[in-house]
Amino acid sequence: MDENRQNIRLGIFVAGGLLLLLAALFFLGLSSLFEKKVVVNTAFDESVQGLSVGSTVKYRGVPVGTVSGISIDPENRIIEVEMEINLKHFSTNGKNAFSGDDLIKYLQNEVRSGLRCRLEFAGITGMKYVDLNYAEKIDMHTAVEPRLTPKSQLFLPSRPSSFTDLSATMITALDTISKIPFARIGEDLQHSLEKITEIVSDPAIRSTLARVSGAAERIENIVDNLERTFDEQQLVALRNDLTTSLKTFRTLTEELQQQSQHLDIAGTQSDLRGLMFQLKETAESIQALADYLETDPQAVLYGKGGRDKE
Amino acid sequence: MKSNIQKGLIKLAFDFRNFRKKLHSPLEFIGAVSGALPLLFRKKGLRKKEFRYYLDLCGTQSLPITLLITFLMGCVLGIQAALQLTKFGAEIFTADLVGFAVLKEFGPLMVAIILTGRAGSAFAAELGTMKVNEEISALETMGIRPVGYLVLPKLVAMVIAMPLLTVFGDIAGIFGGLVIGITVLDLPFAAYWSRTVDVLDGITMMLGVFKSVVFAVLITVAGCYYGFRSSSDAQGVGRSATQAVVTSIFYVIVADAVLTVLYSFIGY
Repeated sequence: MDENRQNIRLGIFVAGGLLLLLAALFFLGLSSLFEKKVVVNTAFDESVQGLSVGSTVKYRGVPVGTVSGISIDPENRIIEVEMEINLKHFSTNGKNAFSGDDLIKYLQNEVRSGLRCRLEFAGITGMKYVDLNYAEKIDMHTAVEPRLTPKSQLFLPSRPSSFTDLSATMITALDTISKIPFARIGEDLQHSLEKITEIVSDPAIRSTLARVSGAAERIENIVDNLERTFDEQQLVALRNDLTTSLKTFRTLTEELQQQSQHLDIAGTQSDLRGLMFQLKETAESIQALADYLETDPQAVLYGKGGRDKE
Repeated sequence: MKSNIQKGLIKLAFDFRNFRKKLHSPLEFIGAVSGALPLLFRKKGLRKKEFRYYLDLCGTQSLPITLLITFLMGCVLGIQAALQLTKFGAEIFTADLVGFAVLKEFGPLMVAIILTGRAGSAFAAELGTMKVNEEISALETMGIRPVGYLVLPKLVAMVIAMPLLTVFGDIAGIFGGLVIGITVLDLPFAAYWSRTVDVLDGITMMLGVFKSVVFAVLITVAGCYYGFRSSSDAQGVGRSATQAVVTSIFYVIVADAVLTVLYSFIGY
């Protein structure tokens, strides 16, 4: 009886262990042996530091396969990379998975639309992956001549990695910067500074600046006085009164001109004399008013005596 | 009068002779075990009852403690990895660290240490006691080779039990890391699991399992060797058990280092 129990325990242990081993192997890659794949290849005319067999291949960010081989072409100094693309990731409406031929045709079309292989960093560790994505500007001419490896079914053209682009841009920028004549600019700048110092230290300039400063103070005082004397509403009323007076004066002038055209000089001479006398008196009155206003501007608003009357 | 150089040379010669004797004895034992291996292919070469007993002792009975220890080890690894990787916003790489560390190193190593304590010492004590009781001498008197009769069931049981325990331990360790990833790092279960499955592969796991086979042989041979060498008294049995455990752990760690270096040569 004990022996039977022991056998059962051993059976559970051994069978359980073996099943667990098989399940673990299945999840950790054994299942990939049964998956359908297409082998494609590409070639890079740059360093593939960080890329290794087993590195991920992504199509627009989706992991679709792995790098299955890396070799060097000594003649052309290029790195050939072989990749296994898993068919299960490509399907129509999520139902019908592509066959191998479907995927090859699809990739051929996409290459014509700008699909290119590119090395990208997988993170901060320096590891890289191959990214299949579309180039903004399609350049059908590639630095590397397309050619298939023995296992490969399709050659995918590559384009320089973003790091290569970045380094090329930096080199160009540095080259441009190096052409700037910093020494001459420095000399010119120093010369200009000396000139400015010389101008600023000129006594005439100093005197002018002092006068400008004094004028500015006086303007400030005037503005302060005006602000104390008039508020905004008063200014508007004064402007309106002046406008009305000007209109009246203009009308009067026009009437005078019209009258003078039809005037019988001989008959109206005495009238004219009287008119002239009146005009003289009017002018004297305006002069007196102007004098008064000069001494007391508030009279425009409050009349003679100003606020004292209130 | 002998000069100091002559004295030194004589001492070196004696030391070498002692070392050769010491080396000779284990090599002789390994040779005896190897010579007994063909018995496995004979019809009644392996004593089935003893084999079942040792498989039960080393495998089934060691399973709970193995699961507990490897699970806790996975948790500890997960926490330590999380503490460091969180600084870089790279929490998800906890799955990589725990997975590789457990499968390649800590899984087989922890199981080996557990079985050294449970089985290696038991083998040494058992054989030492048999020697005290002169049962081994009785076997020799009956014309039975004690190495084949007593060691083979232990060896086969260990070679079968230990890889299976390692598989259980690997899964428990990864599960420990997973628990930490979900609870401490707030990583989604699917993300951690997906990352683990992505970065690990079957070969990595099998390399760890192969390590455990090597460890099983070392632990059994060391345990049985010190059992056979035990002096015929109670204290000698205790000493041999202690020596078996210490030596087994030493051999296991040396073998682990050697295998790790060898694996690095093939890219793992």
